[in-house]
Amino acid sequence: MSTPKRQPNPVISSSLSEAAASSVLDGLDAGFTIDEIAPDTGPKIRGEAKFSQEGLDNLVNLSSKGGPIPGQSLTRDTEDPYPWETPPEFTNPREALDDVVGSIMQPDAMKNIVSALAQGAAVADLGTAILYAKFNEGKISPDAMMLLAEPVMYTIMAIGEEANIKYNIEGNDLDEFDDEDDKEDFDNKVNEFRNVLSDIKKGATKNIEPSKIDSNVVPESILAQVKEKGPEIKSLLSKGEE
Amino acid sequence: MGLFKKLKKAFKKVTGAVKKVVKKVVKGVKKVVKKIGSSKILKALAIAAAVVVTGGAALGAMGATAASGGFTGWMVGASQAVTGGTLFGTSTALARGAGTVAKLAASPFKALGTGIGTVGAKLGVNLAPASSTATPAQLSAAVKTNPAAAARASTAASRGALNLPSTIPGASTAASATGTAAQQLAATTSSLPGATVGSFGTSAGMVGTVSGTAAQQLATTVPAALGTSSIGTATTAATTAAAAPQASWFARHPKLTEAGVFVGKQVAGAAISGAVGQYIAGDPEQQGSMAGAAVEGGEYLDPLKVYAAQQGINTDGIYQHMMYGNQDPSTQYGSELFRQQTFGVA
Repeated sequence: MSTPKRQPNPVISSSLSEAAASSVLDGLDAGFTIDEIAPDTGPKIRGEAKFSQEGLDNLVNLSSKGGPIPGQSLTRDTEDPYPWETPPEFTNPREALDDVVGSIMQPDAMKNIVSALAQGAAVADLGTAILYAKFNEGKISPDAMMLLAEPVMYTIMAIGEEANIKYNIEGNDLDEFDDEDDKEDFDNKVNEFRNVLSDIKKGATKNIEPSKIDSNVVPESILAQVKEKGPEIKSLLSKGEE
Repeated sequence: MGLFKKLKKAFKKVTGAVKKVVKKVVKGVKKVVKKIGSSKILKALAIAAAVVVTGGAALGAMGATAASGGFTGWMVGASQAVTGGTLFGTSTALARGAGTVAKLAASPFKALGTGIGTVGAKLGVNLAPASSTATPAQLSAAVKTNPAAAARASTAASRGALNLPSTIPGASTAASATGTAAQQLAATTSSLPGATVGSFGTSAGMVGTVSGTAAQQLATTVPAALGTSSIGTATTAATTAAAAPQASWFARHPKLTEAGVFVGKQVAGAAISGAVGQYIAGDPEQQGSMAGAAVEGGEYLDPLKVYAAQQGINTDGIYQHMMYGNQDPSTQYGSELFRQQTFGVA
């Protein structure tokens, strides 16, 4: 394991993604290799979402029951409010984050999360479900819910990574990043081919001299024209006149 | 649109932002590290984010090897070393402990004072003034035991007043006198014994009966008490020898003296510089106090200030905002300006 050259640079951001990105780049700059930051743990389990007729039926059944009637929430007894209708337990998002992450880090909860990720559940869906449950319990306000979405998603992603699962972030985007890698590889190869072609062309045209051309191959009349016109002759691939 | 639909939409935005950042980082890392898969970078990002959110506790809880050192340890350790305080979005005991250490380091004299008190308590040494709860009987008993006990008891009785026995052997009326100490002394002088049993017959030559300065009186009374000839009657040679000024201890031990002076200078210098440093640093408990005697400029904090201004954040209340990173802005902003590094605001 390599020894870092220096201490980490201080980083502050209102976005966890940005802070994490800066930390990774800082770590690389300090002398860590990407393998030290993200150790390789062998082939990953593919958490592919599979179509389930049973699940679809359940969803249809739930939808067919209909939603609440407009204004229904206002008919409820004010003495017996829902938990989310009362002031939230955590008004400070930091405390709320501690509570939510603490809940996620419970062994049973982690087991369920790993199982869900392995079966194709998306990180965004799990995060939403966890935070919505907390809101339903009256622990956090909708605003706190939004503030905690990012850190909770990253926590679930970290669990997925530790469990060596190739998970979906949103929907069924399992191979999205790999596809981008492939596209990038393809673009790189096309560029490489173009460069090589250009080099060949340049090298080939440089060596051609009309005096050295065999008259048996090219008729003398054409060679005379070439000599006469000289630099006016343009390649078939050259840019035409505008 | 209902609340839940709005929330769902907002969640989609957050998810989109996460994916966008992942793609951006993948590009950024690929510039640094060639031939690397996106999934590897995603893993690195997830690990770094988990460290930032929980101060490494998440990975530790999962038994990840990274938590025991390496990149994770590097990130967490730096937070303790530089500032202390909390990692953003968390308040782990580890980080809090680090904050305390940093604060103690910032006020060495305060810590030293507390330390002395603590050490004293551990050793059973009571540095507080002696109490005066002893009864006169106890004090009298203590006086009889030994001189040290007598001295201690006499000072303990009424904080400085001598606690001599009320009667002196051979005295007739000692306790009847009233008034100030001087008046009492004057009244009881007549009742003092002419001579104490076992004493030398030097009453005639006692200090007070001989005139002159104290030195002159001693020159007369001491030889008389010892039964030797007085200094005044000694031979000239002897007087000269005795009067010859003897070199002082310091003159006789110049190297030791030099060493002592050097050590004294060092200790005094260190103490003074420490005291001055403490004075300059100001009171770390005072919220928003400017460290470094307001001499060191705030240019290091400019990125943070600009960022805060752009986001509409009051830096005095920066804790009220959800922010992430490997440093504590308030600690950096408050008391340890001289230890700050330049901020990188992502």
